[in-house]
Amino acid sequence: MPLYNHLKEYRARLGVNQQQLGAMVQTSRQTISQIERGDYSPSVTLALKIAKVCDARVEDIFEYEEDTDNE
Amino acid sequence: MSNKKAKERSNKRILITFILMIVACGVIGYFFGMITAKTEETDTFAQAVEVMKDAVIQSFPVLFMIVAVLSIIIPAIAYIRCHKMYQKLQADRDNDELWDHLEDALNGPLITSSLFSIANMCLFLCFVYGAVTDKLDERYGKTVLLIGLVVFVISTVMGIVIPHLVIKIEKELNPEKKGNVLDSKFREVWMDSCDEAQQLIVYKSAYKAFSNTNIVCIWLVAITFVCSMLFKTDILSMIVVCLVWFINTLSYMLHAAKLERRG
Repeated sequence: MPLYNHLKEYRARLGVNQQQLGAMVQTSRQTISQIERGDYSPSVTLALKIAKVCDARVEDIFEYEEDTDNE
Repeated sequence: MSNKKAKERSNKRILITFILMIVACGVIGYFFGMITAKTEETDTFAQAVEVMKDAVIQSFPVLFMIVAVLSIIIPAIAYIRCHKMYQKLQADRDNDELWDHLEDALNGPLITSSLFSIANMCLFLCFVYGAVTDKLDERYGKTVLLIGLVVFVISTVMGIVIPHLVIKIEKELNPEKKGNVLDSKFREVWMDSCDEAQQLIVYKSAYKAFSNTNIVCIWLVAITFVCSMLFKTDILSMIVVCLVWFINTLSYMLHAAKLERRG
């Protein structure tokens, strides 16, 4: 999936663990872990919530890159 | 995780798979050998079929006991392993790797307990069928049936207790999760307490289960039909498979149509 993120760095800046960040954005620790590993692309709502908590823009945390492998 | 640890884990997994395969092959070989030895003395195909049926029915008590004992031991071992990891995590709540590892490991007791419960129920009913219809050997008297019943009750209780304990750990790890395994509306309550990523996992898994069930049903209809012709088994088995296939497809189609209309 060509969606990359810097959530781990932003979480480290906040100084919280995955469970605490999950509680701050009303989601589970598992989902935060999956997003950090790049296994799950969050919904727009969740991405906006994460950006708000991290005091950043969505595009600062999440990056979309065109997949060039198939060309 | 270091490469050495990952390699050790992979080797352990390969060894366990290998041992399980050898045990499974041994059990399958034993029963096929027994059936072959018995059918060797028959003259006609019909006689051979009867002997085979008899051999299968005679093997139910042994198979049931093996599966029932395994259904108590294996999920319990998997749960104890998870519980140890959970206790380790209590001392180091910020260890994300251990947390992820525990979440993965919790699937072990749940999967084994569910699968063994189904196998257990099936073999116990087959055992009872053999006993009630007097098709079992005399050595399987009332005492063996009573022992079988006790083992079945114990394994069924384990099939309820293990998921209950796993869900308890899961709820302690994720306080937002709700639901009691003993509650009839557990699945609805649990699903409602899941977030978007977890719900997506459930939806994807359910779709995979639907697709696989349809494929299995196609094969089962063919197999049960051939068996009803060849071995004179009841045609009811084929009708039941068709019914399962029909309900599976109908419930999927109707629910999909309802969701499409809602937009």
